[in-house]
Amino acid sequence: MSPRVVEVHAYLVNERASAGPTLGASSTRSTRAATLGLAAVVLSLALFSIFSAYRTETLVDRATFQDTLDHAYRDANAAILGAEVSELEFLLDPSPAKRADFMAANSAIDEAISRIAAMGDQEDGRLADELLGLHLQYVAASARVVAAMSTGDIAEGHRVDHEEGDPFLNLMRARLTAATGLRAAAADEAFANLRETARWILLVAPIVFAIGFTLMAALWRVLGSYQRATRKTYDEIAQLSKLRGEFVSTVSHEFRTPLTGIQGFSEIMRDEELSIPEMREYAGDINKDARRLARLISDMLDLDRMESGLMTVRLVPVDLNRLLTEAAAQFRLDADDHPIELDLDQALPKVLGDPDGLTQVITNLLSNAIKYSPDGGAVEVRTERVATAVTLTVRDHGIGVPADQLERIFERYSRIETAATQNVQGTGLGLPIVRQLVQIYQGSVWATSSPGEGSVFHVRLPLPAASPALHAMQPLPHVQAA
Amino acid sequence: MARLVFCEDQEQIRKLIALAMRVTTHTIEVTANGREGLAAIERTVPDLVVTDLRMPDMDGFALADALRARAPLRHIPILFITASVQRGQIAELRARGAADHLEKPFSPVALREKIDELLSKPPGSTPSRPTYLAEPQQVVT
Repeated sequence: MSPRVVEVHAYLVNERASAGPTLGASSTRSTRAATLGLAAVVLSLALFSIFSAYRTETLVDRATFQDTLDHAYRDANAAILGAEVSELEFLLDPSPAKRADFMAANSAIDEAISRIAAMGDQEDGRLADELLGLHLQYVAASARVVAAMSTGDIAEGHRVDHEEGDPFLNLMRARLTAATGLRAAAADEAFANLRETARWILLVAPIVFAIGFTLMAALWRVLGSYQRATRKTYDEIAQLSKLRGEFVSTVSHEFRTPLTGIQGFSEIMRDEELSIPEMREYAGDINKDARRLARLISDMLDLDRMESGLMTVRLVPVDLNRLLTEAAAQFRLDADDHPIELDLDQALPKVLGDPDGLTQVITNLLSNAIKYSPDGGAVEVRTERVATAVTLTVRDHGIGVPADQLERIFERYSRIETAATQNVQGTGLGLPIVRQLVQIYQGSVWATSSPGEGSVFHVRLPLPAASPALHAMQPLPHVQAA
Repeated sequence: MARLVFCEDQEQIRKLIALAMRVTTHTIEVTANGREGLAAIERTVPDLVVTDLRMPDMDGFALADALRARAPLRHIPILFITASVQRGQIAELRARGAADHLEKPFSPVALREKIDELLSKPPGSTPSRPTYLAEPQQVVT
């Protein structure tokens, strides 16, 4: 890698570092917003999931609990019914076997009630205690029934059962039925809650997902545009760096050529015995080269001032035809192999501009036309009034400009490098200066061309009356840099 | 006493070259571009060619390539006059057969000295042929 390439890379890195903070500040902001939004959605999604899972589990537990208790209550009811049946059977057939069945049925009631106490909460415990108390009294009555039956007094047995036992049994049944109803309602409610929660999850989850997906897509897009912006800036910097390198090379060449003349002729004048006419001649050569250098420097400075908006001009009505005639006369002296044909509108009104700047516009356009017509060929200059403006066209029969480069030629340092142009002398400043000046006069300049046949440069300048905002003598302090 | 051909597109510098060489005994021919230069070289087969790099109608590089493509002209050393001082370009000049180079702005004395130095070297000692065969990138230092 040559040192020059290293320099360019270092320049690129510096430029990128300094361009970094300004490039797409809004891009950075929207990236941050999208990232924060996405993080918030992911967080709330996680919280929502945890909450849903917890609530679902609780509800399932409660529903299962109510369901199980409900079963225990039904078991107890069944046990009471069993006791009633076995008591009736015993009353009809007071055999020891039936008596044992009757006792077993009573034990089953105890067991069922104990299960309710064991499985249920405090309220179930209180109910179980009450039921056990009632059951004890029923058991006592049952004992009296058994005693009466064993003495053969069947009527007394029936009476005791009917009057002293059954009320307790009925009371137990009533209590259980009421409690079972409550339990069933609670179980239904728990299941209803569970269903509602499920519905909420089904409803909210897709919404949360949709928001999250949208934010993710937004983040993706923002990152994409950020990346594109970065790439574009990088390409522009690379392009700028390349242009800068070319410009330095071109300017260096442009400076060195007249410097060679100045140095060489002055050394010959110093070192050799020369006649006075020879001295005069070489002094003239030195003078010519010095002027060329001065013009180069002032062109560069002018363009810098114009592009940075620091150029102040005084706009006055100018006779364009007179400036053209003078410039053409000068060019005919300097470049006699290129005939310059003037076709001027004799009734041309004065345009708004400053004479020095307009002369520069004309000179640059003419020298451009001559420079890019290596085989000679006429340069045709024409002026014409068009409505509220004046047009100036400069037509050459030179190498022409490719269609895709017609705008680029007005950009600074952007001489088109092709086999046909690489050896044409130029700083690439002439046409940019023309455009800057014409813009200061509120006019426009553009080119048309067919490569190989030549180019036409069109300048359109407003008439003083057509631009009341721009009165004569009015300075135009700020000109937007191109 | 040697024969020299110069190629330079800038009129002022052509005039300066002619002036600088007036005090020598060499026979010189000054041409305005590579194409005219090549014609002069083919006609006279000079001892040295001095050429500018950037010229319309065949630049210095193209002229060097054209000389190397012609067996009777291949041995002629070429002195390049260049307005660019970038090291990469100097390396390229060497790679493409420059015997030496002179940077603008140059003094007439320096031009004469460089020419005398090249003419005093035995023929074939210039690097024009061998280094041309090498890839330019490999010559870059």
